[in-house]
Amino acid sequence: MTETVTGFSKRFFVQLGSLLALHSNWGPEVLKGFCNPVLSCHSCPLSWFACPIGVFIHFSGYHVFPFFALGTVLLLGTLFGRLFCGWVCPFGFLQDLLYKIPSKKIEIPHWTTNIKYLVLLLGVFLLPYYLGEMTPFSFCRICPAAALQVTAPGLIQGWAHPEGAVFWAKAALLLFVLMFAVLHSRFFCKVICPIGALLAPLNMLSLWVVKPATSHCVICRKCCQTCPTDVKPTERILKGIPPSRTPDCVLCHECQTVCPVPDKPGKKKNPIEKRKRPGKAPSHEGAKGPPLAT
Amino acid sequence: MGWAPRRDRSYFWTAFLAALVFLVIGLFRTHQVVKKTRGRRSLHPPMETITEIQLVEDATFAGVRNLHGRLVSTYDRSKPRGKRLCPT
Repeated sequence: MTETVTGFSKRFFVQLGSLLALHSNWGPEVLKGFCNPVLSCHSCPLSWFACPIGVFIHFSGYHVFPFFALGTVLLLGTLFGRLFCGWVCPFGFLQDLLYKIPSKKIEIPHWTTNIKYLVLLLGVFLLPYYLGEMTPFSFCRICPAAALQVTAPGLIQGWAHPEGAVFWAKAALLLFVLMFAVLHSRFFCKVICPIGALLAPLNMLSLWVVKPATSHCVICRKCCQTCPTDVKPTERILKGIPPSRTPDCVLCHECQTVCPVPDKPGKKKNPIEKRKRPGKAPSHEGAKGPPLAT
Repeated sequence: MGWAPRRDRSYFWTAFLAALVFLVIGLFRTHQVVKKTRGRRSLHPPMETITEIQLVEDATFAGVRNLHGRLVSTYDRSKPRGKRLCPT
């Protein structure tokens, strides 16, 4: 699905196309009544859809249950899981690009991936419910996507002013997230993103899954090395579970693409692996960590 | 790529039906909001009914605010308006 086209993956072109198409001035205003489950600030005049996080914050402040917005996110989440995170989200796209910058890469402790659930609970539901939709303690006030799409252009055009603790907190979080995006793949998606927290549990039951490219895994761990969210697809492939059945997978399908032994009819083998004799013992050279027990 | 195997789909159908129920409720639900008026405030301000989709759209630019437990319009709906920014 993500074969390369002149050095760029198809996913790159879909992400670029989504960014340009969904952030253009010719989008009809009526679409702002519908939520698109990606981190794109609806305050940006170019944005077509409503941001579910912004809508939930306002509905929490109104003390109204967001049936329509939650229904939309739940429907798309149950159908596609976090596919939108991997293929449509402009902020995810930005992080993918930043991670390509050559630099030292770091690992983060796995427990940090639970922070996003706390951000969702406090910053999106509880604090706006008790303090009102305009509270400075809501996630919108520090959202890095809003800082990039609305505050930064506002500063350039002169209608936003760098004053107040909220402004500096937002700017600091944006810089922190951008810096960590260079050092760790999809840092924001894994650790902070409240939309990711909403969609993550739906990955476990979504209709759309990443099917293992092979039924004869040779534990080469190329999928683990390629995975942008570091969710170790090999472990689930060996258990016969779709690799995407984990909360942090963004269904980028890269693990399918890099698999050297795909057993789908008509799919070509990775040219590097073509010369391998069938039945040859798998090489663990370059693998992350010890080989799995089979 | 592909769809989940049939044996995995029971949880999916539960969540899918819940999503559809939420969507249907949201499609038909309406909300009473206080109309934006000029002049003196009264004990019985004029109200207007908006759909939940309109309320979602209003949430994108703080077109409705919660004032003392009442939803209040921050703009005159009868006038045409362009794209607006959220003040938050």
